[in-house]
Formats: sequence, structure tokens, C-alpha cells
Amino acid sequence: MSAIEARALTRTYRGGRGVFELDFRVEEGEIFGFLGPNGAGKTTTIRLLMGMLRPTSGEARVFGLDTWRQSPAAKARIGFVPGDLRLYERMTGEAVLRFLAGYRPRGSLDRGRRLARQLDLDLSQRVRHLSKGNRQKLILVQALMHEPPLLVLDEPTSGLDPLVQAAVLNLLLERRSRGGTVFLSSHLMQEVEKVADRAAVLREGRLVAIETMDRLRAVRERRMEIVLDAPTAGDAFAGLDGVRVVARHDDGRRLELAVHGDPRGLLQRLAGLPVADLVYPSADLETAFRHYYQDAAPAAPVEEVPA
Amino acid sequence: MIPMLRKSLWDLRWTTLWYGLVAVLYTSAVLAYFPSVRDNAASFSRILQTYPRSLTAAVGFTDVGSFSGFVGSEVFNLIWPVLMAAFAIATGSAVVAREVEEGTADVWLSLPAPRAVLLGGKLLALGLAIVALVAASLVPVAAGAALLAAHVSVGGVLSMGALMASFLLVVAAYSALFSAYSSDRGRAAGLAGGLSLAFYLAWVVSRLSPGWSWLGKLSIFTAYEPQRALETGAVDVVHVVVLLGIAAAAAAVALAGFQRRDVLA
Repeated sequence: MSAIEARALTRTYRGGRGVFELDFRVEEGEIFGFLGPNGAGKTTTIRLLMGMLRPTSGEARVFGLDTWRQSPAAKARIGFVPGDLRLYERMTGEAVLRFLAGYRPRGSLDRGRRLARQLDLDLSQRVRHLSKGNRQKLILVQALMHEPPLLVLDEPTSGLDPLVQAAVLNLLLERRSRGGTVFLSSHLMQEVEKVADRAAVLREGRLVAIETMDRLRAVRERRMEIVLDAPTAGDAFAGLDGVRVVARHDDGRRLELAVHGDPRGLLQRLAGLPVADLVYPSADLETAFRHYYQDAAPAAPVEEVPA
Repeated sequence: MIPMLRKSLWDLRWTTLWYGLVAVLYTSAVLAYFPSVRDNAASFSRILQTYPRSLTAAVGFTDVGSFSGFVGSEVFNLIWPVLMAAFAIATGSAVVAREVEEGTADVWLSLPAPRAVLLGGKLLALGLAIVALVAASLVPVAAGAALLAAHVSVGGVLSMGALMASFLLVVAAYSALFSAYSSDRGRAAGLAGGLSLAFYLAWVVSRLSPGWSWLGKLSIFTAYEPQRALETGAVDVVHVVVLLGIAAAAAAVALAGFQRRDVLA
């Protein structure tokens, strides 16, 4: 049985927005990335999975349970980290956990307290006095306190400092190592690629790809900017697979390259050129998957499920 | 439902306490004037008789010389329902809309319980807060009657309390109903306030002219006769049943609607 299964899942809003005909499966024990720029429909999909929205058509199932009709039973198997880090401001962390544990199995509160200690989170403080990082820790603790077999996370590291981001991602890897399943929504490819086994790419409410991370890494495009001491012709990179010159400036002293896949051949070629400086930033999603986002009509995704 | 009930009671504790305190202090302060009003009852009655009878009836002024008439006229016929309706509207319209507005609906609705159970816990807490407020409001009445040697029966006080609680439960229930369907607390409170005002105006107009008396059948204020309950020592069972029936129906529609609606933060 799949941890999550969406079949022709559709939710439309006025103005033609929403998510349309989503078909995907998340297998038990995998971390599944759900990639898309802001407004692509990631949060709508998560709200459908959490039974907050009713599908216009199609269905979503969590461990075989319909997320709308059997919402409480489905949610009992989910630990949820919403994108918005807001909790009950006037309550202490302890009171929040005690309230939420009232709807969770016995022992959840003790586990929550232990997790908070592990994360160095002071539960005696009121939520309104917690920093953003500590709020995120509290939200993670409430999501994990009942040891759910499935974690659903909506942009869980957004706005957090790198240390907390790394801690969150490590937590996800730890969950997977213990057989847990993670559905990780993000607009950051570099975040998803650190932990995910597979990922879906969403564009304007439609799935345009469901691939393993290796495959997504191979097809993504990154930009490299090179500053050279001497003018260089655009054909200096001819014959290199996955490399094309996007722009030349200052008579060829500054070049902008689009790079797909393995950069080792390019680096060898650059070693023979008078390189003064080089910038190779992480790609944003639109750049990384330009070919998905520039097509007029989204292609039907081909799902690869790990054996 | 218990964790939700407990949390909602905790959330309501200060609001309930302050409203209760205001009700107790206001009622006590007004009752302090009763001996002088009683001693000059004839003069006050003459002044009241100079006003149009329909007007004094509309604003709830009647016989200020008796304890029940004075308490009704000065507190429970108009001031108390207005004050407590403000409480019921403010808290009732917040039950769902506040969670959406403050962004806590995501965590709230991620709990593995039917939505009707989650909202039901809040409504139950609101009902208990109303009962507590009514009880607090009755304390100075009972104490005042004892101190001033006024003839008021225990049954009268309890009957008035039953009517007051029933009335407030209706206001809270339709406020919660608007909240259950709206993600905007202001809109829910506005609708509940507008409906309350419409009920009041319908009741006032129904008392100004026999030709408009039919409007009284459309108003919950028609069933709200605390002074009469205090005087007679008996509650009009039909009125209480009608009020509680409306409250139960509004709460049921709120629960059913919230169970089915989309929640967008």
C-alpha cells in the first residue's frame, strides 16, 4: 500500500487556478519532494491531503484512507508541518503540546517533551516569545510527538537560519532511516535534492515531472558566470555536452553559460582558459527546470517508482 | 472533545471574567440607588407617565418602585442584554474565523478528530461561559434582594437566569454559525450584530403599534422577559424552549456547515 496516492486529484478555484488531474504515489519509506515555484499549487495539494479542502474531482488517499471522507483516521497517521509558522500565541510550548497530545495516542506528550529537550527547545516560554527557529522546532515537535508513519511538510525550512535548516533536514533523514515516509513540499531544489529519493515538479497546478533525484539532477540547468582576463570566443565551449553560451559581454571577457548535468568536462575546459573569477550559484526552480516551465502545455508526467 | 473544551475555557477565561465583573459591578451600583428610588416611587412613576407608554415599554422601563421592576428597567431589560450580546457576538464570531485569521487553523484542523467535535468543544465552552456570566449577574440580584428586604423568590431569580442564559445562547449560536461559514471574524461579527439589531428593532416596532405587533413574532427579544420571570417566579417554558430550540438549530447548522466547508487560511 502506498503512503500517499493521488488519483486525478483536482481542486479548482475561481479564475482558473488550482491543481488539476494530479496523479502520483508516494511509497512507504521514501522522502518525496514536491517542487514548484510559489503559486504552483503545492499548498493546495497539501490542504487536500490534510482534508482541509474537498477535491473538486479525483481523490487522495493516505495509507488507503480517503483524505476527505476518512479525514480523522488519515490525519491520525500524519505529522503535519504547515507552511505558516503560527501557533497559539498566548500559550506556552508545554500547553500547546499538552492540548495537541489530547488528540494523540497515550505517551505522545512525553515523547514531545523528550524531542523538545533534544532540540534544545524551552517549552516554558509562551509561543509569542519564541524566535522563528524555535517556533519551527515546536511545530516539528508537535508533528513528530505521536510518531506518525507519514510526515507532510510545507516549506519547512523557509526563512530559517542554515543551522536549523540542516537540523530539520537531518531529522527527515533520520525518520526515513526508521522506515518513515516524508512528503516534502519546497520551492528550493537544493533543499529537496539533499534528502529526497524522488520528486514531483508542479507547474501552474499540473504535474510536469515525477523523477528520481538522479534524473532531476541530470536534466536541471544551472547558470555559470565566468570572468576572463582576455577576450574569449563563444566557440571555446564547442563540443561540450550540456553546455551552451547564453550571453557574451565585454568582448568575451564575461560569459554566461547554461550547464546541464555533470560539470567535470566544463571544468577541464575552463582550466585551459584565463579565468579570473567564476560564479556558479544554486539554480532557482524556474531556471533549473526551464524546459518544464517554458513549454506551452505541461507534458504528461512519467512516474518512476523505485523498485 | 475534552481537550478542545479545556483549551477553549482557558481561552475564554479573561473575557468572561471581565464581562462578569462589569455585570456584577454595574448591577450592584444600580441596586445601590434602589432604596431612594423606592422611597420616591410615586414621583418617578409620575415622570415615567409623562413619556409615551409605547416608548417606555420599548426601552424596557416599567414599574421602578418594585425591586423586580427596578432591576428589570435599569439592568436586565436592555443594558444587560446589550452588554452580554456584545460578549456573545465577539466570542461566538471568533470560534472558527479567528483560527483562520490568526493562521492557527492549519494546526487546529490537522488534529485527528471530526471537525464537528473540534467545533463542538468550542461551542460547549462558550455555553459554559454564558452560564457562568448569567450566574455572576444573578449574584448581586439575590444579594441585593436579601439586603434590601425585597420580595423576590429563589424561583424568580432562577427563572430569570434560565431566560437570560437561553437568550444569550441564541445570540452566541448564530454568531458561531456565521463564523463557521466565514473566514473573516469582522464579517461574522457584523452579520451577528446586524441580526441582533434587526431582532431588537423588530421587537421595538412591534410594541409601538398594534398594527406592527406581528413583527414581535420574528424577534428573539419577544421571548426575553426577565422582569416578568423575576416577578412571577415562573419561567415561560414555551419561550425558553423556543430560544433553546433556535440555539440548538443554529449550533447544529454551524457544526454541519463547518464539517463540509473548505478552510483556506
